[in-house]
Amino acid sequence: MQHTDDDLLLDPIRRFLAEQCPLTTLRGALPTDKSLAAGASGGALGPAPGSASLPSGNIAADDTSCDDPIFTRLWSQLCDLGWPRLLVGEAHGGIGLGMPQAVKVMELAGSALLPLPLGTWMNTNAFLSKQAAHSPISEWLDRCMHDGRLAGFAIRSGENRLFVPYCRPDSQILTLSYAQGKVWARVAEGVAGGPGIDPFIHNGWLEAPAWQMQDDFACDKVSWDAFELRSRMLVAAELLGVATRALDIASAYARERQQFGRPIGSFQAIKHRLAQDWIDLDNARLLLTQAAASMEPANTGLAQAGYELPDQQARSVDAPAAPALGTETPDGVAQGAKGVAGAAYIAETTLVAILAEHAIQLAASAAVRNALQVHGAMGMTWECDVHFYLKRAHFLCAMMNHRHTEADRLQQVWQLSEGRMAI
Amino acid sequence: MTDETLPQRPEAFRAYVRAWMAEHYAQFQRDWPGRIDPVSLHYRRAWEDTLCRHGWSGLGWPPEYGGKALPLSHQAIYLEELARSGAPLGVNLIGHGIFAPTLLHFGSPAQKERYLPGILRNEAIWCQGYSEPGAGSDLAAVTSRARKTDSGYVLDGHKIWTSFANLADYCFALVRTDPNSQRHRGLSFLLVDMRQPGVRVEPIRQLTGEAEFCEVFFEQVNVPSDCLLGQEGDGWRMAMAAASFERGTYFIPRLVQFESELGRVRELIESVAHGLSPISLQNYRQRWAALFADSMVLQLKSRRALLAAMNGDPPGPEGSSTKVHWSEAHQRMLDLALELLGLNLCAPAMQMQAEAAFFAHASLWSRAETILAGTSEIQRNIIGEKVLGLAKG
Repeated sequence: MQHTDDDLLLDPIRRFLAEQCPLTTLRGALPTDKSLAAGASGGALGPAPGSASLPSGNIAADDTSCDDPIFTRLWSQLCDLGWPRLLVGEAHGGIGLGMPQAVKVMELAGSALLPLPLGTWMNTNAFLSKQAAHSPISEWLDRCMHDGRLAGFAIRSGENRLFVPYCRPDSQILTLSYAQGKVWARVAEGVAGGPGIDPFIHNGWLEAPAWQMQDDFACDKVSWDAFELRSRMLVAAELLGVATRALDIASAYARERQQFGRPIGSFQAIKHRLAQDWIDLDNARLLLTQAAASMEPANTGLAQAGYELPDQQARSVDAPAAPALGTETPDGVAQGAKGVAGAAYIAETTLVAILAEHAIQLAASAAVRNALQVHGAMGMTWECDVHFYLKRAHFLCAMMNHRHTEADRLQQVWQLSEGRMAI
Repeated sequence: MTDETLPQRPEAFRAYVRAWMAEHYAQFQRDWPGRIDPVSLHYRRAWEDTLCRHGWSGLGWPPEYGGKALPLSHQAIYLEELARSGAPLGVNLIGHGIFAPTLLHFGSPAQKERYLPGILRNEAIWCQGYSEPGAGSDLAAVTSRARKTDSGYVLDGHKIWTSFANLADYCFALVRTDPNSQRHRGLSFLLVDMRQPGVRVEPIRQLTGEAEFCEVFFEQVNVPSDCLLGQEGDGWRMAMAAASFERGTYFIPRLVQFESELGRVRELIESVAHGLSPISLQNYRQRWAALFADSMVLQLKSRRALLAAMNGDPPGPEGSSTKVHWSEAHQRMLDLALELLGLNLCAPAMQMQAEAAFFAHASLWSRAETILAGTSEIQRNIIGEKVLGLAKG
């Protein structure tokens, strides 16, 4: 087999995840699994200790804090290996990985159910190092990465509400927003969250935050949009990885499990279900690869248009007061010919990114559900791994949908594809 | 409730049950000493005990066994109103719904006298020992073995996915009594006392965190010969018949629940509408409308099944159709609910906590509904083979 550059990059990552982040290790952090290991398996009545008491308002099967040190240890290891800086350009001391490789890294992270915000920090490190090197906010982030400290981030959900995925009480939270030709960065103190539908990931809401640091820097709209699109692709890639592993697990089970004297995978009801999932995930991966490639400046008209960031015009804007959370300027500052090229770049990239998101969500949602179905009653057990993939898919889909629903995406495809059909 | 007070006319009977449930379930909740947790088996059993104490059991049984001999139509009304009250299902569903009618049909007079009073008063909880690690969809592959002795049988075997086994006093188990038999032949129905040496129950943790179904191990368990139900070797036929006794009523509580959840999903759509684009809102409403159509069709199917059962028609494949439709539509509905909850699924905001907890649990659990009591794959095979005359795979 021929080794490619991708193998050189991805094999060590694959190996590290297999060794340091196997599901058995992740399970070890869950109270539910601990009590099973201790032999206290449920008792005669009622839910097991530390498990769902749902009407009281907990949605997770583990409602006690999942504060096992493995998550911080794992993150610190990732920082030592430099993963969160993979996308940082060589000029800024990174290795300058491109999006085509980055989505593959995130697929692996998804496959391993890595319960850490790797994609966000890969992208944010690259963005800040390029747009605001040596600014206070960049230096803050560099310190976090250097110390191997897990930083949280917040995303806006609705008006004036900030959702904090992967939160920990001791992880400061970064929030970035864009308005008036600038990126506004703020850092808040960590919040204690709780596990949601995915027991490995704690989330919370940032209510009336007290900002510990504020910073802003000029940035053109195209760069900001590109940053957001990359974030979206990395989450989508992670979901694809989750579903792909679920399909692998289901296929392995269908090869082994015997009913009616033969492996259940020999029955078309099972075989076709899994085959369709493979087709759909493969299709989705093609779109993702295409979207990732389109985000490389070399592959667009952008390079030829002499596009460079940020331009002097945006910088010269008088520094306005920090905008309130939730405000957003509809479109950046006029940028002349470069702006037109940039807008075309964003439109093109957005179109294929949305197609990838759409395909990944449909394919992954079906695949994780089918993986459970193929396992029969076994799939309903805590002991069988397959439910963790379903739960992670729920989490990632919620992350993907917080701004755009499936209907919104299709609507955008309709709009962005205007004029593209040859008559 | 006394027998004399039960109205005869269906509308009057419905009004009576509705009022009774409203009053007594409210009372039950007021009297409950701890936190009200409708998922807890303690709570569910206590409510079921209350119902039985007030005479709401054995509704279809003949009077000589303490039954009320109500027609199926009235039993259906009872189940519908019980579900409408918002009270949870009990824990002796197998005893009341499946085993009692099977016993009435196939049991000896002595067996009926022995087992029916315990069910009537909800003192004896029953579980159903069908599935095994190697016999799930392929139920005829049962290997649990009952060896004949002078006084009865010695049972060895391993059952799995046995709901309520951790509470059960008895199990009706499908086992192989003829060691040389294969597939459907040589199987028998044994009534096994769960409170005896050699019976071991191990709860299985579900993906929701609860442990409701169990593994049951039988190791050298003595089963007296008078605990054989019906004829030796007739187990498969009885298992099929047992499944058919519920066919007119099985979906009634589930469809009431479906309708009630659908109402909650509608409210969810309205409550998040202001944050949605017009096209998303429209899409959600359309998906809701399609589920409304599902709900309507499911109710018509349930009614058709009830009428067929009342007519005494032989059970057909309509149950398979309803099972597939209900379970898959239910999953679609809960997927919609989860989409609407969005990030609240990951960390519920205060005002969303109850809905997020309810729908997250319901959605995870609903994955079992296309698996239990015959997977969607098996149900579609039944329809293909029995209705369309297609060859067996």
